[in-house]
Amino acid sequence: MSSIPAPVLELRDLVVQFVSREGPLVAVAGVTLAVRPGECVGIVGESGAGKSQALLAPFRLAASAAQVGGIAQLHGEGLLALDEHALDRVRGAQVGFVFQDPMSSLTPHRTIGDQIIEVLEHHGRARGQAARERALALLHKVRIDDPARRLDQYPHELSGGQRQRVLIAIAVACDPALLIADEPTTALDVTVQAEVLALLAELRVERRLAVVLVSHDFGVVSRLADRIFVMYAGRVVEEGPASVVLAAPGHPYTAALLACIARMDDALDAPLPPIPGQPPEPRALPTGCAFHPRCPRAVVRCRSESPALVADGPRAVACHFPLSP
Amino acid sequence: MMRYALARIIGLIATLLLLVTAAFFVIRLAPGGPFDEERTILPQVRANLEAAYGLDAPLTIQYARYVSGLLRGDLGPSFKHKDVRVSELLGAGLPVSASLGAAALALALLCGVPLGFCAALQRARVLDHAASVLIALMIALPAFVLGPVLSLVFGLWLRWLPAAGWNDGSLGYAVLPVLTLAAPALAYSARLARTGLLEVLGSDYIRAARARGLGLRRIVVAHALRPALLPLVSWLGPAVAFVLTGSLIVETVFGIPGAGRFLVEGALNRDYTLVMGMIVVYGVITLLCNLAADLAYGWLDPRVRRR
Repeated sequence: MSSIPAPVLELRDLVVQFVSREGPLVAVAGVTLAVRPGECVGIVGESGAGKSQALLAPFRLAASAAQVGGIAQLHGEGLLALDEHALDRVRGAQVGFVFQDPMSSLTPHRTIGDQIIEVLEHHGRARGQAARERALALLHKVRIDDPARRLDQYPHELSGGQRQRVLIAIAVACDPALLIADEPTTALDVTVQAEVLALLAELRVERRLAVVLVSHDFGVVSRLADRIFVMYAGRVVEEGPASVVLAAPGHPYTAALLACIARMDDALDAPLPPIPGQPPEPRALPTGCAFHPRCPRAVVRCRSESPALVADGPRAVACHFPLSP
Repeated sequence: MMRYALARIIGLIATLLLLVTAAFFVIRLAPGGPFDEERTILPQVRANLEAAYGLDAPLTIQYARYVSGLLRGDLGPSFKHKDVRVSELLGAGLPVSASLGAAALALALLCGVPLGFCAALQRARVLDHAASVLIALMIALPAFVLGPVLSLVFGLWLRWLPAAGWNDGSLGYAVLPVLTLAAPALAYSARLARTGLLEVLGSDYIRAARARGLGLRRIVVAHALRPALLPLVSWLGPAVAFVLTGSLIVETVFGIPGAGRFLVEGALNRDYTLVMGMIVVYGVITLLCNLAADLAYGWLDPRVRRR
């Protein structure tokens, strides 16, 4: 086992719920996953599947009403018992975060350089002129054009793609072991998307960075992920090596998501098959398998009995009737 | 920047001219004139009076005379206060009103803004609820209630402070009127500071700053406070003009010789030049405050900065 490095982040039976007047709302209902150094785990699902909550709530970056249960460990140390002060030494230092909207994730009244230097100084990585030089090097690293000028510019003077690069630079400024990227390319143009993904891939290899890539877009995840977790209604419905999941999905939901992606070799007028229906309301989950109302293969058993995540070769599928390869 | 400043100054003068024009003609729409009184005046006397004040000329000529006087800094004679220039009246009243207003505004901001920020940081806890009650109370209590109550309690019952009077703004005399005038401004600034900070704390860039592990204090001070002041600054522009030019109610309750009464008194008496004088002063202060607010905006949020 010594050949397999210990996981950077490990979640076991993680539960996230929001308590409100209408009662608890379970956003994540028991997710187990691990990310190792240099590995990229992709988490796919429609919006509301709980994928962002599962990754952000352990670091208390979900809504403040979130209650988190189960186990979440960073380098084997429990995260859920940490207070805000202790978490501030984890966030930004050991774990970097990149969010969906680069337009609104930088503080508008402070310069780019100021915000990078701030993180370096706050976590004690560099001070003064040394910090400024490191900020400049980071901007070079994320391939921003004219980095020296950018240091003194304000966020609104940069394009969305440039800003996302700045945010990636801030996220990796303190050499974290883990990068959590929550829909990092969703707000960007397709060409910029590809560049940003290439940058993440490069950083991951160079720094042996563990990466969790959360996206609703299989196309994005498939470019970077070694392992893929497919989430539906707060649960993992399929997980496995990316090559296996992409080539031969085991869960009908995974297959349906993959079928929605346009391929270069499709006929131009070939329609994309949409998944019928809507993701379920978290307060009114269907009985049995949560996917059964939208599943073309559902039978009586699917309505009554919730399928467990069962290993099936290199992957695991939560379906009574997994698709055979 | 020079070009921007120049454009702003030209715009300011144009706005002021527009204001003067509109005010000049609107005032004349009101029925009656400065020399209508219960007792009838001989037609010949009235004609002489009107001739003496130039009211017999066509309105456009009167307007032209007024504007040319204004450009020379002359606000004209008061129609009601005999042998007194409007500038003399304002010169006596405005400094009193302005010092009262400035003190009230300073008190309101120095207490209101920190109160609002603390309430936002303690959201839904005791301090927040207490602040909300206090704010609602101060907004709901009109000056004609708060002023007499303060005067009664501290002036007549407890005898800690003079119940009324100004005495050239000596400290003891100023306390109660300043408090009365400051209360609603304090409440508004606290409320704007609270909602401003709450809104900013809920924004994406604050979550992003938390994700960098910056810690609450640093996030509030370095990331949240400046944008949280924006709503306060836009309120402050008109509020400063309002407070500095005097409050009729507060000045009447405490018997303060300020400028607050000029606008109402002048309007009731059809003292056209006095009303115009107040409008010009009010307009200039408002426009200057708005200019200051715009400049402050540029500092608070670089996105509105122009080049």
